[in-house]
Amino acid sequence: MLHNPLRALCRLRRIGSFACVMLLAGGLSCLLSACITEDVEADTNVGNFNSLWTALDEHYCFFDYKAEAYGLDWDSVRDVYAPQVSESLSSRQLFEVLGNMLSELRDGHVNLYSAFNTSRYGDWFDNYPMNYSDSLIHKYLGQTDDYMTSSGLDYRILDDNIGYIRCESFESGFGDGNLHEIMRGLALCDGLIVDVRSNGGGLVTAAQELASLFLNETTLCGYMSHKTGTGHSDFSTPEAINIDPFEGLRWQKKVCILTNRRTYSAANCFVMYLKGLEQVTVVGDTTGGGAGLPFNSELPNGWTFRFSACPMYDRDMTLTEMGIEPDVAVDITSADYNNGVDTIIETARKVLRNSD
Amino acid sequence: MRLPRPVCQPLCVLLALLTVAVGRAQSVCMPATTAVDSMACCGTADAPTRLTTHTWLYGAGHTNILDTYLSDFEYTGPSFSLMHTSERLARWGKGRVTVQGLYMATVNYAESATDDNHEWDAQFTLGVAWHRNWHPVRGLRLAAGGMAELGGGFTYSSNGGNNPAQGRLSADLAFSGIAEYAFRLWNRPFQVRTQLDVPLFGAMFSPNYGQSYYEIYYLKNTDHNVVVTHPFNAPSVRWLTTCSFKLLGATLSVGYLADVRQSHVNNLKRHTWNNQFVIGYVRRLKLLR
Repeated sequence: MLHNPLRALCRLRRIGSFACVMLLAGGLSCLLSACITEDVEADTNVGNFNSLWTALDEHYCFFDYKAEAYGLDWDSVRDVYAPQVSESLSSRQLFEVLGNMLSELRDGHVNLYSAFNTSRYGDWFDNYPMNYSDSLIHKYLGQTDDYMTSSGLDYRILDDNIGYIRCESFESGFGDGNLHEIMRGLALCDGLIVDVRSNGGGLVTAAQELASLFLNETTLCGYMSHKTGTGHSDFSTPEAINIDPFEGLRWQKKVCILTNRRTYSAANCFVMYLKGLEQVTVVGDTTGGGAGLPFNSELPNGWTFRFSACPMYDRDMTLTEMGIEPDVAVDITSADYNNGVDTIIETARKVLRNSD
Repeated sequence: MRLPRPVCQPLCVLLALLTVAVGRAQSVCMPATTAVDSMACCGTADAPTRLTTHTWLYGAGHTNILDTYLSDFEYTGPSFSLMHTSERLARWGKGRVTVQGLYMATVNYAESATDDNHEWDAQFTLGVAWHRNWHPVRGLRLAAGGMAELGGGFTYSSNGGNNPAQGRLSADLAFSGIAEYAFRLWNRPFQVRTQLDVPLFGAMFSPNYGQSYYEIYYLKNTDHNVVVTHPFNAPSVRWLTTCSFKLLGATLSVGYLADVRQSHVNNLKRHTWNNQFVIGYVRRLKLLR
């Protein structure tokens, strides 16, 4: 058949067409397959500094808020710290400079992790009264046999028929069945104290789970947004955080939430979700804040860092990054410390008794 | 219906011989020579063979992974894959159209340049393609057409936090081209084959730039999470080149697979460059139904 000149011509045309298509596709793919890559800094002291500064510049979510709150200017921060970095610095010296730079953000969710240290900002609680003592807590909880514990929640009924739940962490979920049993055990109490002092947070979902016990209907508890670009003001429209009530069992009486400066992150969210509800009173000190869901990233030298990425607002669209003020502000007095009395728990008991 | 494997091998040889005979008698496009022709998927316009060519390929190689949602840095490491393709004549198209099915699973383990952090990555791809075939000269088959692909996977980073992993789901229509040539060397049959698949239009899932999965899945807050893809924002290509030959009665395939998946959507950059050596075998099965 190849001897037929017309057919041969036709075939050649087909080959030509196919070759054109393949070349077009190949060329298109080569042209458009231009590699998608990210320009990164070299693993030098200056490179690591630039990498950290730039990553935060593009991803950190509270620049505008903190510029207004205390005059944070991230460009000025670079101008201050960049001259301190040179290739002659040791790793530990570089770590110190970078850690100091991060402290300018005044954010407990911002950390730099290396094999030898973790940088952290602590002024949000260091400069305030502790308002919490393990020894005092155990005066109220009693001996090991006096209180019950389930899913990390210690609880008992105090002698004035006030229920007391000590929640020291939201690191893991509580489990619906466990919460159900705990609340059944406290059902006959006249009021409830939920103590989240010195609770450094954990899972936001665990905080929502605990908060759902105190809601009778799906409730708007706050808002959340995220960055949509590298600019300091590139944010999505805040979307509602609606929490559904706990299935089958809800607390209907008064509840006091105890807070101190170390009530942070997910624990801060727990307070944010419930503060303002009619039956809820927040007692103690202003919370530590931490209203940005943190993300992690890394530097060219392998150090990792954490930063606030997604801001969370209360139901009035107010950022709670710098803390939530209590409804009843009270510190533990020195005299009470000495007498084994937790002033904040006692205040909450009074609030609950007076609300009857 | 598939036959048990012990039955398949002798049947394949039988089918191969039969195919050669059919090819010699009727096909202008079949390289009418030897049993290696059984590796070719082709029939005649008048008498479709109903034979399906199955190719299983196992790949091992190297991967480069970048996902700026997880880290700005590229991770590298070993890559492994399993690919199966089946190809047969379509019931339509006058014997000029073949239909190809593809599934592929890839697993990657990659480390950062400093070895401090790791990523585990997995990807599956399902595809079906239709090719118009040309057989311009003896032994040569050219084919071009389109492929519908569905892909999914994840990358997990040991770096942790609230952005520990990235999920992927995509669907696209791709250009697909095949060039296949059968020849004899050292008095043995060989076949070289190359296939290029270039996604042209589709859609993929992606979180927004700084969006957490907590927002997407727990709060159900979405924000441009389904993105239209095209070669300008997701230039990707899969290029498979194999050489098949007979060995001890089986048809083996060895070759090279380049699977380049890239995207730049929602201000997030991602690439997975897999370069793998592949080895596998080819079977031709006849549909009995």
